[in-house]
Amino acid sequence: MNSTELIIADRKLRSRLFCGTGKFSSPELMAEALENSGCEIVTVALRRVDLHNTEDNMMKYVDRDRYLFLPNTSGARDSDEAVKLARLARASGAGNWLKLEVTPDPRTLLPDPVETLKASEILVEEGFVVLPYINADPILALRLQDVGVQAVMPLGAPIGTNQGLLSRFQIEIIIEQARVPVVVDAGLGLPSHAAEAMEIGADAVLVNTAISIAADPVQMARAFAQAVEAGRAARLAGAGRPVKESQASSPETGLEFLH
Amino acid sequence: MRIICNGEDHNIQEGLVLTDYLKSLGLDPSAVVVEYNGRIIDRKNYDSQVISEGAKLELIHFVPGG
Repeated sequence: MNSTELIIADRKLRSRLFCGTGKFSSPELMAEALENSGCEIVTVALRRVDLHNTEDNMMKYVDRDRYLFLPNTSGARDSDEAVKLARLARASGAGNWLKLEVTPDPRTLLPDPVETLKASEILVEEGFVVLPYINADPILALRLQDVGVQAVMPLGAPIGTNQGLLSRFQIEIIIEQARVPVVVDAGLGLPSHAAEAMEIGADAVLVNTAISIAADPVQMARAFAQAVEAGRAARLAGAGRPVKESQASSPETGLEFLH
Repeated sequence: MRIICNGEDHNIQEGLVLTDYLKSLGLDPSAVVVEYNGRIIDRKNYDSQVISEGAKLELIHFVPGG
Protein backbone atom coordinates (compact mmCIF):
# COMPACT_ATOMS: atom_id res chain seq x y z
CA MET A 1 0.00 0.00 0.00
CA ASN A 2 1.22 3.49 -0.86
CA SER A 3 2.92 5.05 2.12
CA THR A 4 1.31 8.46 1.92
CA GLU A 5 -2.07 7.88 0.38
CA LEU A 6 -4.84 5.72 1.62
CA ILE A 7 -7.00 4.23 -1.09
CA ILE A 8 -10.49 2.91 -0.42
CA ALA A 9 -12.66 1.83 -3.33
CA ASP A 10 -10.33 3.66 -5.76
CA ARG A 11 -10.69 6.89 -3.83
CA LYS A 12 -7.36 8.42 -2.81
CA LEU A 13 -7.37 9.98 0.63
CA ARG A 14 -4.67 12.21 2.03
CA SER A 15 -6.06 12.32 5.55
CA ARG A 16 -6.17 9.18 7.64
CA LEU A 17 -8.48 10.77 10.17
CA PHE A 18 -12.19 10.24 9.57
CA CYS A 19 -14.51 12.33 11.69
CA GLY A 20 -17.96 11.85 13.10
CA THR A 21 -20.30 14.82 13.21
CA GLY A 22 -22.38 13.93 16.28
CA LYS A 23 -22.66 15.58 19.66
CA PHE A 24 -21.11 18.97 18.90
CA SER A 25 -22.64 21.79 20.91
CA SER A 26 -23.39 23.75 17.74
CA PRO A 27 -23.24 23.16 13.99
CA GLU A 28 -20.84 26.08 13.63
CA LEU A 29 -18.42 24.45 16.05
CA MET A 30 -18.79 21.14 14.20
CA ALA A 31 -17.87 22.82 10.92
CA GLU A 32 -14.84 24.52 12.43
CA ALA A 33 -13.63 21.32 14.09
CA LEU A 34 -14.00 19.36 10.85
CA GLU A 35 -12.01 21.98 9.01
CA ASN A 36 -9.22 21.86 11.59
CA SER A 37 -9.13 18.06 11.58
CA GLY A 38 -8.14 18.06 7.93
CA CYS A 39 -10.46 15.09 7.44
CA GLU A 40 -11.94 14.23 4.08
CA ILE A 41 -14.51 11.70 5.23
CA VAL A 42 -17.32 12.56 7.61
CA THR A 43 -19.97 10.26 8.99
CA VAL A 44 -23.62 11.25 9.18
CA ALA A 45 -26.78 9.52 10.39
CA LEU A 46 -30.29 9.32 8.94
CA ARG A 47 -33.30 10.31 10.98
CA ARG A 48 -36.86 11.52 10.56
CA VAL A 49 -37.18 15.21 9.78
CA ASP A 50 -38.48 17.13 12.80
CA LEU A 51 -41.54 18.77 11.25
CA HIS A 52 -41.65 21.30 14.07
CA ASN A 53 -38.08 22.44 13.45
CA THR A 54 -37.50 22.25 9.72
CA GLU A 55 -34.76 24.87 9.91
CA ASP A 56 -32.59 22.23 11.55
CA ASN A 57 -30.48 21.08 8.60
CA MET A 58 -26.84 20.10 9.08
CA MET A 59 -26.25 20.19 5.35
CA LYS A 60 -26.04 23.96 5.56
CA TYR A 61 -22.83 23.56 7.54
CA VAL A 62 -21.04 20.71 5.79
CA ASP A 63 -19.83 21.29 2.25
CA ARG A 64 -20.65 18.19 0.25
CA ASP A 65 -18.10 19.09 -2.40
CA ARG A 66 -15.37 19.16 0.19
CA TYR A 67 -16.17 16.10 2.30
CA LEU A 68 -17.00 12.57 1.30
CA PHE A 69 -20.15 11.62 3.16
CA LEU A 70 -20.12 8.30 4.92
CA PRO A 71 -23.70 7.72 6.03
CA ASN A 72 -24.02 5.28 8.89
CA THR A 73 -26.80 2.83 9.63
CA SER A 74 -26.96 3.76 13.29
CA GLY A 75 -30.23 2.76 14.88
CA ALA A 76 -30.44 -0.46 12.87
CA ARG A 77 -31.04 -3.48 15.10
CA ASP A 78 -30.86 -6.10 12.38
CA SER A 79 -29.78 -6.54 8.77
CA ASP A 80 -33.20 -5.63 7.32
CA GLU A 81 -33.16 -2.27 9.08
CA ALA A 82 -29.56 -1.65 8.05
CA VAL A 83 -30.35 -2.41 4.40
CA LYS A 84 -33.33 -0.07 4.54
CA LEU A 85 -31.20 2.75 5.96
CA ALA A 86 -28.53 2.09 3.33
CA ARG A 87 -31.04 2.42 0.51
CA LEU A 88 -32.41 5.64 2.00
CA ALA A 89 -28.88 6.99 2.28
CA ARG A 90 -28.20 6.27 -1.37
CA ALA A 91 -31.51 7.84 -2.39
CA SER A 92 -30.37 11.02 -0.65
CA GLY A 93 -27.77 11.47 -3.34
CA ALA A 94 -24.83 11.12 -0.97
CA GLY A 95 -23.22 8.41 -3.04
CA ASN A 96 -22.84 4.73 -2.29
CA TRP A 97 -20.41 4.67 0.64
CA LEU A 98 -21.78 3.26 3.83
CA LYS A 99 -20.65 2.77 7.38
CA LEU A 100 -22.59 -0.36 8.18
CA GLU A 101 -23.44 -0.68 11.85
CA VAL A 102 -25.93 -3.05 13.39
CA THR A 103 -26.26 -2.57 17.12
CA PRO A 104 -29.15 -4.46 18.70
CA ASP A 105 -28.18 -3.76 22.31
CA PRO A 106 -28.65 -0.09 23.28
CA ARG A 107 -26.70 -0.59 26.49
CA THR A 108 -23.38 -1.69 24.95
CA LEU A 109 -23.94 -0.59 21.33
CA LEU A 110 -21.78 -3.56 20.38
CA PRO A 111 -22.20 -4.67 16.77
CA ASP A 112 -24.05 -7.85 15.88
CA PRO A 113 -21.57 -9.93 13.82
CA VAL A 114 -24.15 -12.23 12.22
CA GLU A 115 -26.46 -9.45 11.07
CA THR A 116 -23.50 -7.31 9.95
CA LEU A 117 -22.20 -10.12 7.74
CA LYS A 118 -25.68 -10.75 6.35
CA ALA A 119 -26.25 -7.07 5.55
CA SER A 120 -22.76 -6.79 4.01
CA GLU A 121 -23.55 -9.59 1.57
CA ILE A 122 -26.73 -7.86 0.43
CA LEU A 123 -25.25 -4.37 0.22
CA VAL A 124 -22.05 -5.37 -1.59
CA GLU A 125 -24.29 -7.13 -4.10
CA GLU A 126 -26.29 -3.90 -4.49
CA GLY A 127 -23.13 -1.95 -5.31
CA PHE A 128 -22.50 -0.18 -2.03
CA VAL A 129 -18.99 0.57 -0.79
CA VAL A 130 -19.43 -1.13 2.56
CA LEU A 131 -17.29 -0.23 5.57
CA PRO A 132 -18.60 -2.39 8.40
CA TYR A 133 -18.22 -1.40 12.04
CA ILE A 134 -17.28 -4.60 13.87
CA ASN A 135 -16.06 -5.92 17.13
CA ALA A 136 -12.32 -6.57 16.90
CA ASP A 137 -12.85 -10.12 15.65
CA PRO A 138 -10.14 -11.29 13.22
CA ILE A 139 -12.25 -14.16 11.85
CA LEU A 140 -15.22 -11.91 11.17
CA ALA A 141 -12.90 -9.39 9.49
CA LEU A 142 -11.74 -12.15 7.13
CA ARG A 143 -15.29 -13.29 6.42
CA LEU A 144 -16.29 -9.72 5.59
CA GLN A 145 -13.32 -9.32 3.26
CA ASP A 146 -14.41 -12.49 1.47
CA VAL A 147 -17.85 -10.96 1.00
CA GLY A 148 -16.31 -7.91 -0.66
CA VAL A 149 -16.35 -5.06 1.85
CA GLN A 150 -13.93 -2.23 1.02
CA ALA A 151 -12.55 -1.76 4.53
CA VAL A 152 -13.15 -3.10 8.01
CA MET A 153 -13.72 -0.88 11.02
CA PRO A 154 -12.96 -2.70 14.25
CA LEU A 155 -13.70 -0.93 17.51
CA GLY A 156 -10.93 0.12 19.86
CA ALA A 157 -13.47 0.17 22.67
CA PRO A 158 -17.28 0.49 22.81
CA ILE A 159 -18.77 3.61 21.19
CA GLY A 160 -18.33 6.83 23.10
CA THR A 161 -16.35 5.31 25.97
CA ASN A 162 -13.03 7.12 25.37
CA GLN A 163 -11.25 4.01 26.65
CA GLY A 164 -8.64 3.71 23.92
CA LEU A 165 -7.32 0.57 22.28
CA LEU A 166 -8.73 -2.05 24.64
CA SER A 167 -8.85 -4.45 21.72
CA ARG A 168 -5.25 -3.89 20.64
CA PHE A 169 -4.25 -7.56 20.53
CA GLN A 170 -7.11 -8.55 18.22
CA ILE A 171 -6.71 -5.44 16.08
CA GLU A 172 -3.07 -6.35 15.51
CA ILE A 173 -4.19 -9.73 14.17
CA ILE A 174 -6.82 -8.07 11.96
CA ILE A 175 -4.15 -5.76 10.54
CA GLU A 176 -1.72 -8.64 9.92
CA GLN A 177 -4.39 -10.51 7.95
CA ALA A 178 -6.02 -7.58 6.19
CA ARG A 179 -6.37 -7.36 2.45
CA VAL A 180 -8.48 -4.20 2.78
CA PRO A 181 -7.79 -1.05 4.81
CA VAL A 182 -8.37 -1.27 8.55
CA VAL A 183 -10.00 1.78 10.13
CA VAL A 184 -10.07 1.73 13.91
CA ASP A 185 -13.44 3.11 14.87
CA ALA A 186 -14.97 3.89 18.25
CA GLY A 187 -13.64 4.26 21.74
CA LEU A 188 -10.53 6.33 20.98
CA GLY A 189 -10.55 9.04 23.63
CA LEU A 190 -7.18 10.73 23.23
CA PRO A 191 -4.81 11.63 20.43
CA SER A 192 -2.34 9.15 21.95
CA HIS A 193 -4.91 6.37 21.39
CA ALA A 194 -5.16 7.36 17.73
CA ALA A 195 -1.37 7.49 17.42
CA GLU A 196 -1.15 4.02 18.98
CA ALA A 197 -3.65 2.64 16.47
CA MET A 198 -1.61 4.11 13.61
CA GLU A 199 1.68 2.86 15.09
CA ILE A 200 0.43 -0.73 15.10
CA GLY A 201 -0.49 -0.37 11.44
CA ALA A 202 -4.08 0.79 11.22
CA ASP A 203 -4.71 2.55 7.91
CA ALA A 204 -6.94 5.21 9.46
CA VAL A 205 -9.01 6.01 12.53
CA LEU A 206 -12.52 7.35 12.94
CA VAL A 207 -13.08 9.75 15.82
CA ASN A 208 -16.22 11.49 16.97
CA THR A 209 -16.92 11.75 20.70
CA ALA A 210 -13.36 12.53 21.76
CA ILE A 211 -13.39 15.62 19.55
CA SER A 212 -17.00 16.73 19.89
CA ILE A 213 -17.22 16.64 23.68
CA ALA A 214 -13.79 18.18 24.32
CA ALA A 215 -13.85 21.56 26.04
CA ASP A 216 -12.27 22.93 22.86
CA PRO A 217 -13.25 20.67 19.95
CA VAL A 218 -11.33 22.71 17.40
CA GLN A 219 -8.06 22.34 19.30
CA MET A 220 -8.77 18.65 19.90
CA ALA A 221 -9.44 18.10 16.20
CA ARG A 222 -6.03 19.55 15.43
CA ALA A 223 -4.43 17.38 18.11
CA PHE A 224 -5.96 14.23 16.62
CA ALA A 225 -4.80 15.20 13.14
CA GLN A 226 -1.25 15.60 14.41
CA ALA A 227 -1.40 12.33 16.36
CA VAL A 228 -2.62 10.40 13.32
CA GLU A 229 0.21 11.81 11.23
CA ALA A 230 2.77 11.07 13.93
CA GLY A 231 1.51 7.52 14.39
CA ARG A 232 1.56 6.88 10.66
CA ALA A 233 5.09 8.29 10.34
CA ALA A 234 6.24 6.10 13.23
CA ARG A 235 4.74 3.05 11.58
CA LEU A 236 6.59 3.78 8.36
CA ALA A 237 9.79 4.56 10.27
CA GLY A 238 9.84 1.09 11.85
CA ALA A 239 10.03 1.02 15.63
CA GLY A 240 12.60 -0.90 17.69
CA ARG A 241 11.33 -3.89 19.62
CA PRO A 242 10.77 -3.62 23.37
CA VAL A 243 13.43 -5.57 25.31
CA LYS A 244 13.77 -6.40 29.00
CA GLU A 245 17.44 -5.58 29.58
CA SER A 246 18.88 -2.08 29.58
CA GLN A 247 21.02 -1.13 26.60
CA ALA A 248 23.24 1.91 27.15
CA SER A 249 22.79 4.73 24.70
CA SER A 250 26.13 6.32 25.63
CA PRO A 251 29.48 4.53 24.97
CA GLU A 252 30.48 2.12 27.75
CA THR A 253 34.18 2.49 26.92
CA GLY A 254 36.54 5.43 27.47
CA LEU A 255 35.75 5.74 31.15
CA GLU A 256 39.29 4.87 32.40
CA PHE A 257 39.86 8.44 33.55
CA LEU A 258 36.87 8.17 35.84
CA HIS A 259 37.09 4.82 37.57
CA MET B 1 -57.44 15.81 2.32
CA ARG B 2 -55.81 13.83 5.07
CA ILE B 3 -52.38 12.22 4.95
CA ILE B 4 -49.96 10.93 7.56
CA CYS B 5 -46.53 12.49 7.55
CA ASN B 6 -43.85 11.32 9.98
CA GLY B 7 -46.56 9.81 12.13
CA GLU B 8 -48.64 13.01 12.29
CA ASP B 9 -52.02 13.72 10.71
CA HIS B 10 -51.76 16.49 8.13
CA ASN B 11 -54.42 18.15 6.03
CA ILE B 12 -53.24 19.15 2.58
CA GLN B 13 -54.86 20.32 -0.62
CA GLU B 14 -55.63 17.81 -3.34
CA GLY B 15 -53.30 17.40 -6.30
CA LEU B 16 -50.17 18.53 -4.44
CA VAL B 17 -46.89 17.10 -5.71
CA LEU B 18 -44.06 16.15 -3.35
CA THR B 19 -41.83 19.09 -4.22
CA ASP B 20 -44.53 21.61 -3.34
CA TYR B 21 -45.50 19.79 -0.19
CA LEU B 22 -41.89 19.71 1.05
CA LYS B 23 -41.48 23.39 0.28
CA SER B 24 -44.71 24.16 2.14
CA LEU B 25 -43.13 22.57 5.21
CA GLY B 26 -40.08 24.81 4.85
CA LEU B 27 -37.88 21.95 3.62
CA ASP B 28 -35.31 21.88 0.84
CA PRO B 29 -36.46 18.98 -1.38
CA SER B 30 -32.85 18.22 -2.34
CA ALA B 31 -32.02 17.53 1.31
CA VAL B 32 -34.88 15.15 2.09
CA VAL B 33 -35.46 11.51 1.24
CA VAL B 34 -39.11 10.53 0.92
CA GLU B 35 -40.64 7.18 1.64
CA TYR B 36 -44.13 7.14 0.15
CA ASN B 37 -46.35 4.30 1.36
CA GLY B 38 -43.20 2.35 2.21
CA ARG B 39 -41.49 2.95 -1.12
CA ILE B 40 -38.44 5.20 -1.57
CA ILE B 41 -39.18 7.88 -4.14
CA ASP B 42 -36.46 8.80 -6.61
CA ARG B 43 -35.74 12.50 -6.22
CA LYS B 44 -36.26 13.19 -9.90
CA ASN B 45 -39.88 12.16 -9.42
CA TYR B 46 -40.62 14.65 -6.62
CA ASP B 47 -42.05 17.05 -9.18
CA SER B 48 -44.46 14.50 -10.61
CA GLN B 49 -45.46 12.39 -7.61
CA VAL B 50 -48.95 13.56 -6.65
CA ILE B 51 -49.85 12.88 -3.02
CA SER B 52 -52.98 10.76 -2.66
CA GLU B 53 -55.62 10.76 0.07
CA GLY B 54 -54.48 8.70 3.06
CA ALA B 55 -50.86 8.54 1.87
CA LYS B 56 -48.27 7.67 4.47
CA LEU B 57 -45.09 9.67 4.13
CA GLU B 58 -41.79 9.41 5.92
CA LEU B 59 -39.43 12.33 5.47
CA ILE B 60 -35.83 11.43 6.32
CA HIS B 61 -32.70 13.54 6.27
CA PHE B 62 -29.08 13.55 7.40
CA VAL B 63 -28.36 14.49 10.95
CA PRO B 64 -25.05 14.64 12.80
CA GLY B 65 -23.78 11.19 13.76
CA GLY B 66 -20.71 9.08 14.29
